[in-house]
Amino acid sequence: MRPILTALLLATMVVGFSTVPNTLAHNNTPTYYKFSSSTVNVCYDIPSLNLLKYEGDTNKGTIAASQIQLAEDELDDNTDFNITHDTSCGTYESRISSFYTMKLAKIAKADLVVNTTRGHEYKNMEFNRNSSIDWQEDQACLSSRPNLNWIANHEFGHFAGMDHHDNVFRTHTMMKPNCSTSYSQIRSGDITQVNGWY
Amino acid sequence: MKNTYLLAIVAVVGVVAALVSMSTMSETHLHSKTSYVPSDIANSLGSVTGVIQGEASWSTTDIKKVKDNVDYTIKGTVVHISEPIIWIDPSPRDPGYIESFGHNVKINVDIEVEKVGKAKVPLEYGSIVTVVITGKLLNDVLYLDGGEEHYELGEQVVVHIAEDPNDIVGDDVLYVVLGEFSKYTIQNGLAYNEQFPNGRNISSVMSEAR
Repeated sequence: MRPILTALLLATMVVGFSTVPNTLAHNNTPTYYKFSSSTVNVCYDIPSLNLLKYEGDTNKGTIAASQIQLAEDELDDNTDFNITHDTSCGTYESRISSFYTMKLAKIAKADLVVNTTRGHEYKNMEFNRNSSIDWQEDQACLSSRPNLNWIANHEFGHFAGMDHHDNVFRTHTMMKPNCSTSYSQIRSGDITQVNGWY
Repeated sequence: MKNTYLLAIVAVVGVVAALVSMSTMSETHLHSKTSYVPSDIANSLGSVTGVIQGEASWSTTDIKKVKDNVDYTIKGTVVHISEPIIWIDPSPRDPGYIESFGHNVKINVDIEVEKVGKAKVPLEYGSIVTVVITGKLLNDVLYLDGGEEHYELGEQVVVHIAEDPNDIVGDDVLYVVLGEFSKYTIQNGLAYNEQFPNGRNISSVMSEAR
């Protein structure tokens, strides 16, 4: 009786665990949005970042850049993707800057530019400088006072190539489309996804 | 006997993990199922050779949380889409930026009003409301800003709209408050967007920002 019971339990165990899908993997696999190289240069456009309202004031581009760089380090330190700095912004390189949009809830964006005729690919990561948004160092996801480092974590996810992850019930990603505490650091699924690419 | 108990516990944990995971997996499938044809603005622009769109981050994608910002909710038909129009950023970029990323552009989308769900000032049936979407233009390729909603000529839509008080992109510009998350395509009697690929009742969409 006991060997049969053991065999049944083993079979149940095998069937149970083999049914568990790989929850660490993202359910989207963009093909155009990631870089072809694992090492990318970025520059910080301080005059543009000076236009952000940060902790109540503008002209704090250097401080804002330091918060964004924490997110850059988060990605760089936890994945095989390597980001290097350019000391000044020239042409044809990824750039961190600000943009104006009337859409107050759209707090940041990341756009890929591929100029195949010139052999360049780079991304434009921009944070909303609408004066109604007051970027913060230590707030959470308040709509008019977003945490710059958290949002930058998510943007660097886009920078590496990740799309939004549409399952709001998962906690293994910082790539949900709307801000939550999951934005506070890079998550296991994000690391797996990025390392799978680079 | 002790090993059998241990195996039993592991087996139960395995099955429970599988059931929990399968339930969240079905939620993923629910969201990824697309039962409508999303609009593509590339079909209505003649002057560009391609449209590429990045990603945006939102403080919220729930229109109910920003309903106080919504000035108008309308149902209507897209009757005109302009070609990209360059707008000058009052905080000019260095030449390297424009050379790399292109000029700022806006696209005006005219919607003929058929039904009004919310209005700051009265809107008449048949009047035209123009909403603006933005992007960049580089080498005849439109880099539509991440999160901007797409339109096509003749498309029936429901949109939640606000007026930009800053007059930076233009004077008295109207915009769709949450971009792709507060614009719906009407097909088969239901309202669809990326967040609701299985469709919603139109009347509930029309009243959700009141």
